[in-house]
Amino acid sequence: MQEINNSSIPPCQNACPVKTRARDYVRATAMGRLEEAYKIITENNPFPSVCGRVCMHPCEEACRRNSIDEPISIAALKRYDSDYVNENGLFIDTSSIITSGKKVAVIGAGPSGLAAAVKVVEAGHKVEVFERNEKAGGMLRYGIPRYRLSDAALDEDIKRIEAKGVKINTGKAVGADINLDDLLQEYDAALVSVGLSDSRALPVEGMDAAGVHLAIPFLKSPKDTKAGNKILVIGGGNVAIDVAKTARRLNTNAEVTMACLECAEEMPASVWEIKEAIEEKIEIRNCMGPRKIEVKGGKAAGMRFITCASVFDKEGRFNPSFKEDEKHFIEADTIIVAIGQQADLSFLPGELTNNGRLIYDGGSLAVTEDGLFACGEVAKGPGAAIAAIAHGNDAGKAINQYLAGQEINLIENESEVIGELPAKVVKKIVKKERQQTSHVAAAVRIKNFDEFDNGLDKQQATKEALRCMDCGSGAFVNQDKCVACLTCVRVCPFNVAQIDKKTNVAEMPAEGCQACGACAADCPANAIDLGGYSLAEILEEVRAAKAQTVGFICQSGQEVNFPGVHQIRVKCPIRLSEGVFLESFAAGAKKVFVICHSQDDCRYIKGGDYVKRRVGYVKEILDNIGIGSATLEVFDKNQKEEIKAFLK
Amino acid sequence: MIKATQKPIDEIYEMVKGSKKVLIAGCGTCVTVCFAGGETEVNLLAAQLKMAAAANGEQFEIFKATPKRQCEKEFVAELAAKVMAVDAVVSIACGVGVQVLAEVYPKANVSPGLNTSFMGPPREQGFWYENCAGCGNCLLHHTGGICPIARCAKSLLNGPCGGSNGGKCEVSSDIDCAWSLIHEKLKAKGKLEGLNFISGPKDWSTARDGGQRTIVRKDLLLKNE
Repeated sequence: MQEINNSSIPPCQNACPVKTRARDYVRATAMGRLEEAYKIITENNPFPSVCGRVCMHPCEEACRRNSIDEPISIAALKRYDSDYVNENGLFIDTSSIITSGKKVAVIGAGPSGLAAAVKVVEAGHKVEVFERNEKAGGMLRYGIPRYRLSDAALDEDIKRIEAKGVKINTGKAVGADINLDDLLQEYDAALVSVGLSDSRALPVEGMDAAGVHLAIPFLKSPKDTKAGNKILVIGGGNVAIDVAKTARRLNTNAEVTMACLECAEEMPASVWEIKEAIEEKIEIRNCMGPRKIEVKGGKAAGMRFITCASVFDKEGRFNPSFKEDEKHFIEADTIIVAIGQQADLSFLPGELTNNGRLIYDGGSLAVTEDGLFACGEVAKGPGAAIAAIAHGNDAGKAINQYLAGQEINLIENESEVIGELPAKVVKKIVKKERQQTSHVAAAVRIKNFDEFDNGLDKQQATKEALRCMDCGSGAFVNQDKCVACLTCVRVCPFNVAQIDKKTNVAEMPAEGCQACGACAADCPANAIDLGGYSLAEILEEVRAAKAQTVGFICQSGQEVNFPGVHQIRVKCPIRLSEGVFLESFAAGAKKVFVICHSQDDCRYIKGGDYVKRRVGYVKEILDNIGIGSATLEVFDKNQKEEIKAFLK
Repeated sequence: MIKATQKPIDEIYEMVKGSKKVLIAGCGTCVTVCFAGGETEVNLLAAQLKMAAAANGEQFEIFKATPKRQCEKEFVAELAAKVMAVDAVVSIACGVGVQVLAEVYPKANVSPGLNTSFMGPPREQGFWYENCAGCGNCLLHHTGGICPIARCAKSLLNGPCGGSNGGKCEVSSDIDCAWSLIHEKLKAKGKLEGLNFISGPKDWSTARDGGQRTIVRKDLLLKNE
C-alpha cells in the first residue's frame, strides 16, 4: 500500500510508545488485507497478539474520532489481525540473517528484553535470552491472568520472535545457573531486562500470618493459593484488579473486596478494568489507609484501616495524609497485597545498585561503559507492557549502536502531529457506532480462567476499521500541476479544500481533510494524490486484472460473492474517477458496475451522488464508442435483484 | 478563459486510424480548467481511443503529454521526443495550441481533438457560458458590465430587438436576452438613464472583420526589425 506522503503523523501513532502506524493498519484491516495489517503492526512491536488483548491503548485516547463520537477500537482490531494471521499460519518472518559475528546476551525474557532482542537480531547480531522461569514472557506470562491473555496468544508471539532468530533459554537464572561475569566475558554486550518480579510487602503488622499473600506469587500460580470466603485485596492498580478477578475465579462465592488508598477518581487502574471488576461483584473500597492485619490463631482475620485524606501532596508527589480518628475494619480470611513491585537484583554486583534499584544512564540505557545495558521496568519503573516494549526497542538500538562503535543516540526527531478536527468539519461527519468486543457474561466467566473477551468478528472488524477517518492520508496537491481551477474547492464534501493565498494553488489541510478522494477523482489536472488506496493503485489493479466483469464495491457494505467478478473494494466509491471506469473497459472488461452503500449509511454524505454523475458521463462515452451504456451501472447495495439481472 | 469541448470520439478516431503510435497532447491551462484537455482528459481520451481502435480491430500504442501551455513554443518543445516517436498527434489544446504544435513540428500529423468554443467563465461547476467576443473595442462601461457583442445573438449595440420575450432571446428560450439583462442591471443600479446613450456604428475593424489581428509591443521585442 502506498506510503503516505505527509510529514504530519496522526495522533494515534504519536500517542503509541512504539509509534505503531495504527491508521495504516486499520485501513489495511478495512480492506481485508490482514496480513499487510499484521506486518505494519509488527514493524516496532513483536507482541501483536498480546497488545491486541492487554494494551492500555493510548492511541484510542488520542483518536480524533473522540470529537465526533467514540474512538476507533484500535486495540481490538490489532487482536483481530493477529488472530487471523496466527490461525492461518501467515507471515512467519525468518528474514533476519546473523552476519556480524557479535553476540548479545539478554537477561530476562519479558516484553522489553524480547523487543530488544528482536531489534538486535534484525541488525544481524546473534542473541541469546536467559530466563529463569520455565517459560518466556515475563510479567505477560506470570503477572497477567490467563482470562485476559491466553497462553496460546502469548506463545504465538514468542514463537515468531524465536523464528526471527532470537534464541530463548528458559529455566536459566543468571546468578544461580550462569555466572554473570562469565556471561559478560563471553558476550559482546548484555542487557538486564529482568523487570519488577517481586511484590512489595506492606509495612504493617501481621504480614507473616497465614492467609496473607503477595500479588505476584499469587498471580504466578493462583491455584496454589487456598482462597477463603472473605478475600481482601490491597491496592488500586491494574495488578490489584487482576488479583481480585483471579481471586473471584478461585472462589466464585467469596466476598472479594479491594481496598486502596486512592479515591475512585484517582485509582490508577484502567476504567474498563474497574468496570469489569464491578461486573464480577468485586467491591471496591476507596480512601483506605492500611494500618494492621488482625491475626487470630496465626491466621489472618481482617485488616484495620484509617481514612486516607489525600494521596498526593501539593507538589503532586506520593505523600498520603490520613484521618487517624476515622477507623475501618474489613473482615478477611485471605489478604493479597498488590501495592507495587520491586526488582530482584541479587545477581548483580552491589556497586550497580542503589537501594534496591539499578543504576543506569537514562539517555544511553548503559549500566556500564563496556556493554552492559538495561531496559524495561527494572530500569524505568512500573508501566504498561507497550512502554516496556518501547524501552526494549530503544535498548536494542542502543546495543546495535554500541556494537557498531557508534556513539549512542536514542533521541528521535519529533514528528508534527495532525491538529484537531475543525468544528465545521466535525458537523459534516456522519456519526458511526463504535464496534465493541463482547464479553462472556460475568456470572459465566468467573467460573474459569478462559479468555472472556470475544474479540471482533469479521463483520464488526471491517465496520469498525471503516470508522477510521484516515487522518492525514488525504489529498495532496502536486503544486506543479495544479492550475487553481477551484474544482476541488467546489466538490469537497467537507469544505476543506482551499486555494492557498501564498502559493496560489489548492491545498487540503490535513487536520480537516477526510481523505474521501472526491477532489482527486474530479481534478481535471490530475494534480491530486491520495494516500491509502489511491486512484493510481486502483488503476493498476484494474489494468492488471484484465477481467471480463469488474465490480467496484463500497467497503462499508457486506462482502458479497459474485462468481467471476473481479471485485475491487474501495472505502467509498466517491474516489472512483471517470478514468477508472473507462480504463476498466479499455483493459478488456465487458461489464463494469459499482455498488454504493445506502444513502442513510453512507460513509461520506451523498458519496453515491458523485459516483452516479460520473457514471452518467462515462455511459455517454460508451454509447458514442459503440460499447453501449448498459455495460456500466451503479447500484445501491439493496438492489440485489437488479445486480443479479445485470450480471446475467 | 478559452472554453472547448471534445470532438466526438469517432471523429477523432477517423483522424488517426491506421496509425500505430498516437500521442495525445493536452494543455495545462485553459482547457484543463474547462475539463476538455487537461491531464485527466488526456487519460480519458487515451482509454476511449484504445477502445475505439479495438472495436475496429486496430491497436494503438498511446503516448501522453500535458505541457503547461500548448500555446507557447518553449513548452511545446518539451514534447519533441514523443512527437518524433509517433505517427499521429491528437492535440486537445484549443485551436491556438493545435496550431503552435503543428508549427513547431511541421512534419508531424497533428489533429485537433477539441472544438474551441468561446471565451467565458463558469456559471457553476460544469456550466460555462460565452461572455466576451474579443471585438477589440470594449464598451462594457456603457452596458452595466454585460457584453451585448458576445451575448446578444445580433450583437446589437442599441437593444433590445423586437425578439426579446420575457427576458429571453427569440433564438432560444434557453438564452437570456442580453439587452434585457443590461436593462435589469442598470435599473438595479439606478442608472437607467444610461440607456439614453445611443451607440453609433461600431468600427468592426478591431474585430475579426479587420483581418488577422496582431499585437506588437515594440518595447518588449528583443530583436529590432
